[in-house]
Amino acid sequence: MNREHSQEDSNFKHGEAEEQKTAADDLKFIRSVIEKTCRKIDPGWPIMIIWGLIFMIGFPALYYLKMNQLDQWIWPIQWLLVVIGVGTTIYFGANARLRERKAGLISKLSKQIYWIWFILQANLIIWICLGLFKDHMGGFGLLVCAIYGIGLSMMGILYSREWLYGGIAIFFAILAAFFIKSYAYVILGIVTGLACIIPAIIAQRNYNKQKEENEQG
Amino acid sequence: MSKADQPKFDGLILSKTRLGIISALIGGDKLDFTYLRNALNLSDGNLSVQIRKLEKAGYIKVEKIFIDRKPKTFCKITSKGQKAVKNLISKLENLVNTES
Repeated sequence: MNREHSQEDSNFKHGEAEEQKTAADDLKFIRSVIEKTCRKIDPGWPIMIIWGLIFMIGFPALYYLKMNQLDQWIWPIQWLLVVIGVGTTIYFGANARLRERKAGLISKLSKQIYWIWFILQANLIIWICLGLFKDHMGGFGLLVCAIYGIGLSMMGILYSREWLYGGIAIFFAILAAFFIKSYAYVILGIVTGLACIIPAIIAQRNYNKQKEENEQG
Repeated sequence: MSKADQPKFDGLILSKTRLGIISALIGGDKLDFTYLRNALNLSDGNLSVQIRKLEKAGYIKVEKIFIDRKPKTFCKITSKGQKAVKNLISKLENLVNTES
């Protein structure tokens, strides 16, 4: 009786070990499928490169106008820079989304990032249209940089770390600009520009690498 | 662990093919038929049968979206599907971590 019992017990233990192995295999399979199908979203790097150039060239240009008392040009140039930036965002953003859809992927993350930038840039356009900062070049510049600091930080949290570092760098630049007022716009322009361009290059490189790996594997 | 204590698994998603489909969709992205077929190395017939089963159970939602005037069949996981797969993963993890 006891022997029968111990035989049954050993069979049960053997079955349990088998089940554990199957469960471990199933978990491994789930992980491998997630890794295989998890495609990083297209970072749409031309958008950030163009915004970066806008900051790096536009802000020192605005500073030059202010220094030479050409104030009447400041507002139209701010307008032009924002129109170029927003136009580029819409054009390249829509292209990147279409490319993803054609490849058979409608990414949730991509949608979230799109809405973040849509809301931030809509605010920017409304402020400009209302001329809220028309007479206060300083306020406008700081706000644009703050918007980019927030946008990049959110992208860093949701998407990939390098954007977060860009966002943090902008916040430090805003602080520095507050204390070194005479060079505020040169500092803000260069730091915000680099905070857009460097992460864009890194993100695009990582995306291409991942795409290659997915195609090979 | 006694036999009575052993967890009950959802048979529908325990099948390797269906588990593959639902794992691919777990991130909340919408993936199209061709994308899933290539990623999971399945035949068209097998994939469509399994997708239909998962859709019938309410685990995924299937929708047709036109891209460049061509229809594409996209699949998306539902909240019921999310719950089912999370439940399955936690049961599998419990089973693996149980000392025999």
